[in-house]
Amino acid sequence: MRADGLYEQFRLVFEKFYNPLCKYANSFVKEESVCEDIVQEVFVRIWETRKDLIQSDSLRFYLFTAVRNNSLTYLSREQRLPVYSLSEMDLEDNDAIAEMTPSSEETVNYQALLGQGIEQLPPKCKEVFLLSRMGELSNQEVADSLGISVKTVNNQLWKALKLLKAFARSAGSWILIFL
Amino acid sequence: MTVLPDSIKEIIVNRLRGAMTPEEEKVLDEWRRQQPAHEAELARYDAVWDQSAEILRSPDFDVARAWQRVDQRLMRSVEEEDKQGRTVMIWKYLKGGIAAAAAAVAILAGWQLFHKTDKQVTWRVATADTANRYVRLPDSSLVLLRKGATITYSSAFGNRDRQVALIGDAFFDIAPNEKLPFRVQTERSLIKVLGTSFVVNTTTKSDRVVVMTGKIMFSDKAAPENQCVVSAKEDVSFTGKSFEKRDVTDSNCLSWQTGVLQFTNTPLQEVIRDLSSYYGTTVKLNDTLKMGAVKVTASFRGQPLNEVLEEITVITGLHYRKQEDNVINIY
Repeated sequence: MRADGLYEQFRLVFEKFYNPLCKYANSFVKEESVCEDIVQEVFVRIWETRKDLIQSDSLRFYLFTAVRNNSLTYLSREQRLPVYSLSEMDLEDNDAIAEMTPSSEETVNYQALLGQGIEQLPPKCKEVFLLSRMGELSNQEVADSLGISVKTVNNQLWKALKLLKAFARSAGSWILIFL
Repeated sequence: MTVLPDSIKEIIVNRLRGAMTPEEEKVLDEWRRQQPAHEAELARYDAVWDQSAEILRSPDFDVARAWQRVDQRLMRSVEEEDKQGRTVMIWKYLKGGIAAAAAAVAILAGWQLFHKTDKQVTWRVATADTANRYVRLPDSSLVLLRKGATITYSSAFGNRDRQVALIGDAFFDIAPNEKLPFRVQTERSLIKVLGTSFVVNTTTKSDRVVVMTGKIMFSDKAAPENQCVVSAKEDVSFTGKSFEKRDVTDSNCLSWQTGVLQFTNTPLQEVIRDLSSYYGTTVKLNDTLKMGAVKVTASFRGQPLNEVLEEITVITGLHYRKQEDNVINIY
């Protein structure tokens, strides 16, 4: 029989993480409906096979890692390239700032602009940033999830911050932040 | 532009991540005091960090709808877990029935969007997969589903309305409640009742309603003003265009449950319609027989189709032949 309290807890977890997980999946897989399917499948599987995870501290870590793996599996099954892959990594490319150019009409909507900036982050940098920010995973968890060192996570986060700050500045939108 | 030492970079990241050590905090405070520009620089990183959370948090996906889907799937697996025990209100899913259930949910979903009720609506699906099956609804109305039929209703059934979606054939005996009309939706039509009993047959070509007691309102789902009141002992078919009404001459609309087919001076045309529906086989007449001169009086109880055909052809002096595609011709 279903333990109703646990199911309720499961529902709350679903409501909390569904959107960030879909967005995370969406950073790999373009089709939004596929992203939703992937995330729903992960939840169904947790309920069916790993109920113990629902109350565990590592749930978030598990969710994001599972969504990531399933997204990449989907892409490889579909013989498609991921939006980005982890292998072709660029730890220090300072040219990236130059490549990131905000579109001129977007000077007012700072949030949309920053969203654009995140989109344009270099691949690995973007993944580390999304995982840290959406999943609220610790640096150690992000490192474990991606199979990289904690030091690299820290570096990539710094890089993301630097690029986003530069991006916002070049759009001349600092005023808006400090309003 | 301020050039930051690596040590400071790392501390800034750790600070945003909530993982700054007391030692790091001291170093950072020192650095902040060195120049006002440092303080401003730090504020910018904070701003980027905070604002990005807002963006990433903004909801784009329909969580409520997604939860419905997951909840639906999990109910199915729960049902598999405790199969023994409960008998009447078990949610059953056929392999093929899943598509039917999904279609039934789709029929209701449009309505659901219109009447935004509770956030957490879940769908109850009842399918008669291997045999005819009785379903007692929460308002104590009784539904008898023909094998293969599915009804779907929301968990909010009976709160503000009584609404079910039907695929296939079913007999309804509705508990009277004038405040909450009972509605049956099919893909094609909408049937509204106050308290009555009736049978609905849905096929790919038409919906047919036979009313036993009371009255119902039978309407076109696409054009609700196209409607028709059906009273007791009336039999109305709707093809998507027009309603065709006739008096009930026999009770064969429920033969799928009773196993009894009864004909009393019934035109052959109607006899073969009932046979086709009961046996799920197409039976055809040649053109001259369609004129309706031949009438049949006979009664059958759970007999195989060929026995029934033998008997009818003996009574009428006609012949029948089975075509390769299993269509039966009477001539």
